[in-house]
Amino acid sequence: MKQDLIERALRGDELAAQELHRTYHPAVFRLAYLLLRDSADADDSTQEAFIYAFTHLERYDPRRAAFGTWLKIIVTSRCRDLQRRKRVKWLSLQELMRRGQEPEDTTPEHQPSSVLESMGLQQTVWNALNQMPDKSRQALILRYYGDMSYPEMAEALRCTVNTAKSRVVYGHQALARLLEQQGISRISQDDGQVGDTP
Amino acid sequence: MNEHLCDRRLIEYLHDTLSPADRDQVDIHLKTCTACQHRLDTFSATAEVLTDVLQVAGRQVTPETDRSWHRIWEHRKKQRISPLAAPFTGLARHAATLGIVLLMVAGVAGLLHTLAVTGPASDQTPPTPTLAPSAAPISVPSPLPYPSNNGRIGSVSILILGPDAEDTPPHGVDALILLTIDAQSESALALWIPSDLYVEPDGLTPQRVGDIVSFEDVQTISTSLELTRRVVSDTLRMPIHHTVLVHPQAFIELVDAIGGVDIDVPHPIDDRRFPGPRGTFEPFSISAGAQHLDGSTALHYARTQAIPVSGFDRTARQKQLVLALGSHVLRPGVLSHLIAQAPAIWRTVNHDIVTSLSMSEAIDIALATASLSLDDIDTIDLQACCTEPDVVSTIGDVQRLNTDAVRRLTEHDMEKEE
Repeated sequence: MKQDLIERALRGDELAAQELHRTYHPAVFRLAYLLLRDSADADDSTQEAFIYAFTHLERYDPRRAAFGTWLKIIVTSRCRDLQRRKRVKWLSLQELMRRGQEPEDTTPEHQPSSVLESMGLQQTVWNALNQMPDKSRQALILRYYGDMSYPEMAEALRCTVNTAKSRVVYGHQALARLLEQQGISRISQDDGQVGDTP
Repeated sequence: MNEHLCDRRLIEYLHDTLSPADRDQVDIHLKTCTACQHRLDTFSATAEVLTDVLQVAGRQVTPETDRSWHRIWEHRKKQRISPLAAPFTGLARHAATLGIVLLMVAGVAGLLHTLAVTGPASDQTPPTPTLAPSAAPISVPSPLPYPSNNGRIGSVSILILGPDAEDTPPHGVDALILLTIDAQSESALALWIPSDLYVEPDGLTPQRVGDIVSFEDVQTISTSLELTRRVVSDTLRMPIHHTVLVHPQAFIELVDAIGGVDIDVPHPIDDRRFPGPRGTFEPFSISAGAQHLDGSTALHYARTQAIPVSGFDRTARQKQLVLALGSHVLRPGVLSHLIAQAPAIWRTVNHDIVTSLSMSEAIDIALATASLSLDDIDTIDLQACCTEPDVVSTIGDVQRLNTDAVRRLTEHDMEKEE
């Protein structure tokens, strides 16, 4: 059914393209929002991703990834581009050295949502996630929200599979450290709740 | 297996990405090691909580699917009515990409050249700091053999040289930029090399790198460019595939060839001390507001050292100009004009650009860098990180390379985020 829509869209069928958009837009937009934490930016990136996808539909290979995953890979790439455009790119080495690593996004505007506010542990995890370095945070999002495999993550993040794995591991480690600072020594599998730091 | 499993192995186990043999080993270890089993449980629980949190957070925003489709549909409608919507084929496509790469290489080179000639804008006297021992490795496109497999470009390094602009013929080169384009990661690095870098070419006396190029005649230029390429490559221990010598005149001609460029000048500029030939001044001024600049004015706009308002410095203007040129070139009317004019443009700039790039190599680079935005170019000043001032009796003031610092630069380790 979806392949049929894709083939019709490839032949210029606007209704098929619209149907594909209607089906996949919400998930793609939400992923962009989580990556960027700004709905206007997410909107722009999602639009760019769909325009790219429809313009280069012939490049989609169903043997490599599901159509939704292909869209998520494209939108991730667009989100990274947007973030890069927003950063100061003409850096001297001094500036890079002063930063030591990529700048962490600790801006206060990423406030918890009202629903998360009432959810204790989830709220703490969300706060911790927003304090992590971008690369690790994005890797966790692609893995646990985007449901991407490591090769797909590597393609989306334009890195090697090993690097994608490393970022997930660093993400887990960074998250554990941040949670520990909040008095949470570990998340327990038994009750889905937390263990307090002694 | 007595030692505990590392986090990575446990997470790979959790994500089922281990080989069957490795998985069996982990299974055996977990049966006897409660500590590792405990950590695995924690990773698993964290993953579950993370998934839940992200699902909840994602649901907090409402996608405006209909409005989004309307915007996309409007965009597609414009594409359909554009005569350029039809895909380029054959020669026309190559001509277009050739034109774009010419503009990219020459335009960026021209601007980098002007920046290099007059030094970094925001910092009139670049210091030479020592490299902090704790400095994190910098991610740079790793130099790879060119061309890579499948006939596609992997990473290509081009040494761009800017001759002394104020003298005719030039006495030497006072701007050297090593531009490395990595097609795979869609990134580029402009490594700024000081022209007084001390080098020891094989069989020649030690000298400043900027003095190697000789402008006696065309043949001498080509030979000395090749020597410069080899010397810089040996000195930095980085492969360099091509050289491009760009006269400022090439930039002027390229901008004129596309009919000039539109710039919104945010603040008026009045520079009474704009440098002219042989130590003279050529005052340059421009009013605020929308301006259409020809090649010469665009070059002046990029080169003036006047800073009428904090933040509106040369770097900001050059970036503004490069982006304006990029968007100007990609306009449908201009692009079609460029396609038609590509051979003429090539002939025009050919006098002011000396390059080892063949047309087919230029096309390869154009195709590989089609999605590379000018915004993706990082710049690193070698003098600011990796050289130390020195005085050599036979030469004078030079910059000596700190090879350890360069080695750190080339360490391509994207995994160090900590």
